[in-house]
Amino acid sequence: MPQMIIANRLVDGLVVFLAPGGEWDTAIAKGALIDEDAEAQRLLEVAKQDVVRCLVIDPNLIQVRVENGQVLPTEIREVIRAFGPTIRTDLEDTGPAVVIAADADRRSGGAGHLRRSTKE
Amino acid sequence: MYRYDGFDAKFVAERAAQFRRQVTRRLAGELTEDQFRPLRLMNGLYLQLHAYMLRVNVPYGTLSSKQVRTFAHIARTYDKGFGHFTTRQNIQYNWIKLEEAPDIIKELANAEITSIQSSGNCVRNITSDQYAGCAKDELSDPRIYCELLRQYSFLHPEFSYLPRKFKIAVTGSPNDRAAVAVHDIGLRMHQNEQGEIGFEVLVGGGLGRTPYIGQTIRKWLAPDDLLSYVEAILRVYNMQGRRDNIHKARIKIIVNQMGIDKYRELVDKEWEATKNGALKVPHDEIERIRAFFAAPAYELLTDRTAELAAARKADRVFDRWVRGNVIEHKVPGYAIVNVSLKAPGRVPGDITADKMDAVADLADKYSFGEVRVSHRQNLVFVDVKQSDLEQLWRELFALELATPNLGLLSDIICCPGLDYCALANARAIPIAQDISRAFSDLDELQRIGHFTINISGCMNACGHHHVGHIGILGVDKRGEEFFQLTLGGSSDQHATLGDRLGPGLPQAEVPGAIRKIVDTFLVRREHDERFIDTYRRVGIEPFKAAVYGGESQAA
Repeated sequence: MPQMIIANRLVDGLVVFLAPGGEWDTAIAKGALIDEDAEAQRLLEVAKQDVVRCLVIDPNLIQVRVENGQVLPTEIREVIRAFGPTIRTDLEDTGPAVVIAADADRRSGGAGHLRRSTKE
Repeated sequence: MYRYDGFDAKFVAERAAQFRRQVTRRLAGELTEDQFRPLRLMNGLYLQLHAYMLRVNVPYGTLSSKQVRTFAHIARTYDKGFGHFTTRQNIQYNWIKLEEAPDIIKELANAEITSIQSSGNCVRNITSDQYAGCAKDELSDPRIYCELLRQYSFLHPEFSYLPRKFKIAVTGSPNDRAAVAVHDIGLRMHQNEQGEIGFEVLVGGGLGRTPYIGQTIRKWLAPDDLLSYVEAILRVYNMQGRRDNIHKARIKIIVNQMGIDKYRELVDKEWEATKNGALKVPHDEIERIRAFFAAPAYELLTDRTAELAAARKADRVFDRWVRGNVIEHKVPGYAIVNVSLKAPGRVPGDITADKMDAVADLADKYSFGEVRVSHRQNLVFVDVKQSDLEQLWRELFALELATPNLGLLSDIICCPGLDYCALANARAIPIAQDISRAFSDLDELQRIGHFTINISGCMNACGHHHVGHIGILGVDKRGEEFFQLTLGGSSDQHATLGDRLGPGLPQAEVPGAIRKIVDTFLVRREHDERFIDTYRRVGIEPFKAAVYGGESQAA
């Protein structure tokens, strides 16, 4: 299963993903997909240099999968980190980027419970 | 309310400047995250799932309208336009930028508010009855003693690195609205045979991973002994508490392991050496603080019983709101008005910047410029003239802040859960939203009567799930969210911990399970019994059978 490196940006705490060029991006779609464990470990060491450079905090590897062209973390926690809270739809700029649907969908289909929203 | 003196103002301003220097050094790479983390936490700044979160103290839940406007300004300028009131009577902002945090802390300091000690292993915000000073059943205003304790414990060098955080709550009423029995120290005011007012002292209460109801360590404590006795409790805890295991570090663990009698013995020994020393609180000091909480300039009024009855009869919606959200005041002609932050489908405790400003305006117009925060995540106007009730209700109604569900099933306590919190295992807010939508019929809610549902997204129990009539705990099972129900919890003067109903349920089944529990209650109820009384009478089995009776898909 592919992996990706996730962190929080130091200046504002926002969730960021390590992109193929070594920069950090708030969109999971821009994150580098890593297929090999050895490469994942190598890039994690690279990411840790950005901790020293005061760009990010706490870089970690997460597992992701690609479905219908969308990159989705496998853990609910990381889905919420990647796409934002699933609540506060009353406020325009904090609306959920994805909706985690009812449990029945989730249990039956893994990432099939995720629906794209208008926000990316 | 308490106003900063010259020392307070100078200190918090200096502290804000100090934090600015610390942030500058962090951003410049002069401090590592490991070095910086304790510094930011000392100022209430956490890193959560999506951003930094700033927790701001609301001492004993009392705010001026100016402070509410400051909260609104911060929400609008530095956050995403809303704030979240918590079960510790504090406010949290979820989308704070580190680089802007020093500006926020400076603006808070200008409004006599701090976030200092809203995190860390120290004495946290001291909480109290949201109706303090106004409740008809109150013996004396607990905020005087809260403020005394706040000043004493603020940056106390001996107690800034306790084994773990330390929470104190004070009630001045026999009807406990401050959940004192589930705090590290709970203080219950009462009168002795001589008619003097003092405190029953409870110790070792708490929720979290290992919940306990506090035990009485002292039946009677004179107010002038308050600081020396609390210090003795803290000192024994500081020496005896475990620092090797975070899950066993709270005072409740040590009290329950050694037993209350042994703990009392150690405290009394410590207290014996200090009780007549420098911490004896002078009467003048108590009176000096009391003056800050002097009653506002009430008009000489009489209760408007007949007029209010006529207005209620004329408007059923107004009548419902008065019945639900308005509480008797100790002063004739006045009333206490609760503002529910629990409209159906909304996030419990959340309020937008615009509504905070509107609440501040209403406080100025109708309630001497003061707003209270309850640990049940609602707001309160404590000094409203009965003759203003109808107009206030109309204005609240227009703001969608007049949901008449105080103390009813949809008045749900809920932590931020996995939508925001780095510690959570499951989302809590969507469960609260599902339940409040499923139980939005006000006639039905009133038929059900007093009912508390408390929801936590993990076992740390910020949503007080152990002491909800129904408690809901979110757990992670093999990567999926499940919810364990407990029944029969209560945080009042007869506090009890809930009993686990059975295996966890998936989110989609929770509202249905609540419905089955309510239906079972309504069948078993005698007369106008509250749910908690029926539960205590009939036990858990009928509810277990209703929820799990052969058709469960529970995991």
